[in-house]
Amino acid sequence: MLMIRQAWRNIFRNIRRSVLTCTLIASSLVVIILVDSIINSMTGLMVKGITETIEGEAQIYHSGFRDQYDPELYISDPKSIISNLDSDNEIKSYASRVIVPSMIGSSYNSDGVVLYGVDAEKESNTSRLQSAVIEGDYLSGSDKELILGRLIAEKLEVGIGDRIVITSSEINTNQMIQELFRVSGIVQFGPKELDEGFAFINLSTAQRMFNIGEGVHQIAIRFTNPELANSPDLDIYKTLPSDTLEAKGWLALQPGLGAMLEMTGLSTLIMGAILFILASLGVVNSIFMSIYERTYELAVSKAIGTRPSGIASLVLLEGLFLALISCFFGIIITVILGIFLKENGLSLGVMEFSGVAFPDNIPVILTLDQFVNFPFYVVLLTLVAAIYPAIFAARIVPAQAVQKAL
Amino acid sequence: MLILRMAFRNLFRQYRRTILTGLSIGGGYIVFVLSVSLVEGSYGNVIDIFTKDSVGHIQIHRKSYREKPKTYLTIDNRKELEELFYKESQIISFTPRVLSMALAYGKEKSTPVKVLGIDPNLEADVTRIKEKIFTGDYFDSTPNADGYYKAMIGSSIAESLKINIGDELILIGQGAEGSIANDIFIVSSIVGNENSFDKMTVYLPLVASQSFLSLSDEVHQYALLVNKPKRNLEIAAELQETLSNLDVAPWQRIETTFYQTMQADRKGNNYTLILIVFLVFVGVLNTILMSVLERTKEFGVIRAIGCRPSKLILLINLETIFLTFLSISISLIIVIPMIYWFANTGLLLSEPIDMGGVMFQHMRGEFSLNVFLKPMIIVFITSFLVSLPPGFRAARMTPKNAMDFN
Repeated sequence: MLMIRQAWRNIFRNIRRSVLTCTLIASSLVVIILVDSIINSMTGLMVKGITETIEGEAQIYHSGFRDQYDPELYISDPKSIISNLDSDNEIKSYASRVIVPSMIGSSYNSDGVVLYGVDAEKESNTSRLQSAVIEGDYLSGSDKELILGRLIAEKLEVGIGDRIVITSSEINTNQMIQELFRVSGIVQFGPKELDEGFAFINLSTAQRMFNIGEGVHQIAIRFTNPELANSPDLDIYKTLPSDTLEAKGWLALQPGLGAMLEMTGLSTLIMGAILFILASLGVVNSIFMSIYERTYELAVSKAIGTRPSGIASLVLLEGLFLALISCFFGIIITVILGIFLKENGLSLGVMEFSGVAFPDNIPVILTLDQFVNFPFYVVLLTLVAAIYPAIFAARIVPAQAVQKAL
Repeated sequence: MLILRMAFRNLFRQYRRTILTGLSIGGGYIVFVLSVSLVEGSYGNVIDIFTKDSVGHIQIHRKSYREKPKTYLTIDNRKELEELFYKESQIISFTPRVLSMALAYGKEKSTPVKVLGIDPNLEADVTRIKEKIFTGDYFDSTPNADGYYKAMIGSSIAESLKINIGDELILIGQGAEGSIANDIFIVSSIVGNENSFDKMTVYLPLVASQSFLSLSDEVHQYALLVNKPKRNLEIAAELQETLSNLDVAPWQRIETTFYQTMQADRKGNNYTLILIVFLVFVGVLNTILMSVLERTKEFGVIRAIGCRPSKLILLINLETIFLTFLSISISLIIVIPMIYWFANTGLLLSEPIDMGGVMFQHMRGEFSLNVFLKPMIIVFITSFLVSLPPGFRAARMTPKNAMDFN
């Protein structure tokens, strides 16, 4: 008890030094919490951007289809898969799609697009297609409807109600086919590749056009609990009705995204390590200074019977108090900054990674566990940093120290 | 001179403190240099790849072609333009291109493709196309005995149409006047791999593409390389003035999303660096302040025997500058080999990251004077600034108060 009081008072013997040391520790805490929040919210945005826009959290497709998007590789009999999906209560929604690269032409221009045949109702629960409509209407199921990305619509110089000709070839016979559609809606997802490279028609129209019966190319899936998507022992990954089919979660479908997440994780770690090294150098330095100043005093206290372990504990306790005070103020500053950044976001400018566009202001969302975990690490690491000066202080030889000080 | 010697000796009075402070200055400097070098080097590398792979440093189009690419929006005063390019010493090479979309047919299958008409000789001076040939020979502009021109195709086209060198390739597209364009070509080589940007591109000799699209000697695009890539914005602006009826765009305006993402990433990086420098110098300020405080009595004596306050400030400034100089010198020994390794080998990420449409896979460092000098100047200036407040504090005290200080 005496020791705790001693340590606490020692901190306030040199207020200026303690304030600066605490500033150092507290700033490190603030920075690491904010960096972690920013990275979390960016990766969250990125994963959501990928899984919620079009791709879904998992996909079922014919093996090899994703390599070249070869239309011949389709699931010819999706019925049994779909009944499995319907009965699986881990699955929130799914959407079957026909995907064929085609030529699209208006009376003014022509271009290549990826043509999606989608089930209007199922698609609206699975992807952002319906909410991305900025003009006109979403698909209703009638034959001649077509939804275009905003940029491709601009390129073709068409608006709602204008005529569009799709040119492609039938999947099994490779006969050239042409069909007339009318633009019923225009969508804007954000990333350029999506808005300039996609066109959507009804699933039944696509199946008839390409003459593939009930066949589909892809079934995109969303889970009730999105965290599950990448665990390999889900039923849908294991029980596929045929070995020509594949089912994969988004991490396996998007290796680039995985690499990106890995890199951001690594960079937080590096940042954390640098901050820790800088802060602990400061802490070691400051504790050493306070020990030097008190060499005489420590020597006397040792001479009258304090054990070396007692001296070491005293120094460690001082480190602990410094860390606790810093965390206290660090948390207050973080909360204030957090409230400000939550409302205003952090403005870095427009970014686009892995086909996901980030808003100009990245929202910074703080969570409770950040306020528990990081202060805990900071306290722990400050204590580790204090070990060296503590050992040094414990080893002071009273006779020498008293002489030196005189 | 005396002051210099005093400052230098003072550094070694408390060598443990000097080492710890030096470590944090040196560590901060190393982080700073690494970060600047990696950012400049990695982006420099990726910019070099895509500008020399396809984009070029500057592109010239007919006005409004980039927003609405239509076949009839061509550049027709080619002779005049090319004479200007030859005369302009800042332009090292240029290449004319014809761009279009078409449906490609192999033996059985079809797929939409990008058609790129190039001058075989000029193109090789601007891009690495010749080195990218995977199999077969680089083509020329002469038709074969049957009057068919050669075509080079991207690897994904070869794979999805199942065609190889020597096979026929049929292209169907839309000509300049809206007529249907179709022609037969003979595949002469396969370009790149499945990760290349041109995996779905058909390269045609310029003359063949012009006759395919019923164009006379017109082109859609000129891509230029300039002698000073870092000055391409200014060169583009100069060219724009002479060519007021055309659209001259530097790559920054062609790859807008990538450019914005890069700028945002740099901004984020700068924030991080500012924070690190701040933390380093909170620690440094702490140390200097302590060392001044310790010597209060001593300073009082020096003042009493006639030292001017300004000399005291100078002394403390010099101590900090010496310390910074020593730390940076030692850090340089460590950091130069690191940067050298990053510049020559670098880190290859396991999967490329898609950054606003540009693939990013190689972390490279830049090895240049600037990389070492810029952080050095900033660290020196900051350490000078940080040493001012303790200096003023020492200078302001009256000798009597200082000698009474306890």
